[in-house]
Amino acid sequence: MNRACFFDVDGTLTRTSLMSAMGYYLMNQTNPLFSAFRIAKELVRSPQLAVAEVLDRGLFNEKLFMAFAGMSEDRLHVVGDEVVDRVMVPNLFKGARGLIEECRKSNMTPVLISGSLDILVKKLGARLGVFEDDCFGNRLEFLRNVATGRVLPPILAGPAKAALIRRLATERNYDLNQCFAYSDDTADAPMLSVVGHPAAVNPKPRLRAMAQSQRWPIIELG
Amino acid sequence: MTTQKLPSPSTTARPAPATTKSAAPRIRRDNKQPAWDGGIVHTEKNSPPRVLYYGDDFRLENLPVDTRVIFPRPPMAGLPNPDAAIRYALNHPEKSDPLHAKLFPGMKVTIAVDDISLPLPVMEPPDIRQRILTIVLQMLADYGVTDIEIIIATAFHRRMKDWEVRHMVGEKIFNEYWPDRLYNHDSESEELDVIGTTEKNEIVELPRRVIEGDLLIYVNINLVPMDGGNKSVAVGLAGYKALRAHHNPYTMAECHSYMDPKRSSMHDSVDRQGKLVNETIDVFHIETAINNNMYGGALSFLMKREEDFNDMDWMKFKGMMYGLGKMPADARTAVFSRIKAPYEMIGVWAGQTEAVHEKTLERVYQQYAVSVKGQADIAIMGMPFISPYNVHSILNPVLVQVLAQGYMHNLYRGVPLVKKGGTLIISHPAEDRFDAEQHPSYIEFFHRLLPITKDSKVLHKKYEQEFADNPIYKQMYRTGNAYHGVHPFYMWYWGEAGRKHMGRIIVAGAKSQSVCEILGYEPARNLAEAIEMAKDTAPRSPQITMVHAPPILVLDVEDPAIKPLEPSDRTQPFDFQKTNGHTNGHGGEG
Repeated sequence: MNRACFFDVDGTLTRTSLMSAMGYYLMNQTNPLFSAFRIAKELVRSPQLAVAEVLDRGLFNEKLFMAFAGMSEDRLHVVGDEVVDRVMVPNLFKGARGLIEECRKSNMTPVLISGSLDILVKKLGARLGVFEDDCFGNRLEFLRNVATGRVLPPILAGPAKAALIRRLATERNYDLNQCFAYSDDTADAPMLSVVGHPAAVNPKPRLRAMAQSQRWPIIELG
Repeated sequence: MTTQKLPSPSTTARPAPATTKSAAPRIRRDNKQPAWDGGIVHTEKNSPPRVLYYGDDFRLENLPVDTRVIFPRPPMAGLPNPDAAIRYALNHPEKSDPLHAKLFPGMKVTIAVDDISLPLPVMEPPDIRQRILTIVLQMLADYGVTDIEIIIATAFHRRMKDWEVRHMVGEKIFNEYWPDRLYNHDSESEELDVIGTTEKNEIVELPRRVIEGDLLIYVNINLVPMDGGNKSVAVGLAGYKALRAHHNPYTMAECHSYMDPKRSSMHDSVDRQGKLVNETIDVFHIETAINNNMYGGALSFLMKREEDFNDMDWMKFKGMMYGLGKMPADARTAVFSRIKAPYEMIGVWAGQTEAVHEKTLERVYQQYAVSVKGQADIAIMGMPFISPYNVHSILNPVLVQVLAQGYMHNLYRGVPLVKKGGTLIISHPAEDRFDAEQHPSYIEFFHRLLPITKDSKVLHKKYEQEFADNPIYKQMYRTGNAYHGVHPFYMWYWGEAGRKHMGRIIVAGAKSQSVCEILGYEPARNLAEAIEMAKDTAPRSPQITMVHAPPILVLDVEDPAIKPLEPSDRTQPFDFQKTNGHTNGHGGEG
């Protein structure tokens, strides 16, 4: 049987959130007027996003990614490189690379599973030495190379991450009892629960409380 | 250094039970020793109740008449001028040139110091390490040595936190060296190199900095005879490859006892590693012995015998018990974490490792050794709030086990206190409490592995490597404040000799039956019930002994009918090289 370590990304390996990447994209439109227009539009939508986050992480992702509507796939890739190099990599937690390295040393496959755009997850994975096939994020729907603002199902959040892990386990012959998962948020409780070795990384208060009651290890990556 | 001569307490045969009543509590002291001689008291009908540790609480218990109660020796007087004694030791070393003669400008010096597991509890400032480091660093500066790094020799223990290090080395050294030139050892570091193997194929590894340096100075605090000597460097600065040569169930089972290095196969193994260390690098060893003055101030009454308690002491004790009883468990742990011991230095030596250690052991035994004649059928021991592995933390069930079967059982020279197959009664709530920050792998070890097997060899063979490779535990050890992933295994192996020796272990006051079941112990509601249970399997009129510790003592148990196990009685050391250096590869046992 094979083994893997599943990592959430935002908040777990990096200090960034989905909003950080989104903010960078919005501020770097083809011209400043477009940027100003899009940012204003998102500010108007922000109460909606706030409610969505409280209700359901999947719904939040769905609403958030609507902001990408109208952006070309090429641009998402080009700006994506900047997002990773200027926003995500500088905000990697100090111990993040070490954690992935330890995973590799123990003959386990590191797998990134994030609610971020798959474009960004794959680019970050490349910087961390994780294979493209082992990087999973949310996929935007494109029509003639232009994002429609919709996310292709399944929306990778909450239970969908756990479902993906189970599917990967079947396809790749992972022994889930011997697999590891790392996350910072209670939204990922299903993902943490599906493996034999879950760990809360820099957990938010609710996950910290859950980790304490479930006796999951708590890692402070600093 | 002059050797302080102390009276040697000893026991006589068990006296007959008292037949007369007296108004005031009476004690009979063997050899008519003065009031507090670290000797032995046999309880009588009017004897006062005994203060028994009960984790981070206490119990007041009446013992059966004629129970033998063994007390530690009183604290020896501290050196009147410790700093002068340190300077004297550095300038008049054992089998070595004086420290100043080893120094030259531009040299690379590494200083290693014992970690927070010594002494227990943490001592009142200034810590002995601060005193020694202050003098040594000044001497290094005087000789133009500037390339200096200080490593806290943690081995697989948790990293010390910055405020703990500050307390240990003092503000000035901390501000100057932390964190770049004063840091915790990392047994998982890639900058750890193998320097060779012993004649018994035990790997020896050290930090590259130490190997490439010109001089290693080790600063030790010796609390018990198990500490110090070759163990300081060969274990404290080692990695997994070196540690598993002796921290395995095969070697640990052959220690008779840990407190008697001449009869400990672990020390044999460590000595072989230490010999190689000393052949490879220049080590200047500084060892100190401290007295057993564990409690000062408001808690100083805990250093007394109950016979010597005055009304104020009883009032303080009962007030403390009342207060502790009203506190939640975490608050009690926090209160005990604040205790600082007023230990004093009773000796300091420097020079060649083994020559220094010989002197240290001599002084340590003067402080701790208590002569006892005859073994016990039933021993009673209170489990205190602290062990070397839970400073500022919780004494979890695995640590209760190591304290009972590893440490308390092994506090002997000669033969064990408890007869082979006898019963040990420990006083502890034995609750399912763990510190997830310091002991994450203990939780999995206790709840996942121990219900499957308690056999050390099976645990070693089937599961140790899995925990050693666990990336979560590695990360928490390397960057957090967690003990290494395999540490609970070592704790279980430490209990191996005690486990093999004891017939039964009964937990008086156990609050969790499941914890007792997992550990293989029997729960009892209180001490009286535990004693009655123990009598079921003991001979008629069993010899019952209570060990009134801590403060720490070492029992020199003599029993003409029992021959102490000698080194020749041991099996061959466990050879990892023959198994390709992989513990899982060891076959044929377990």
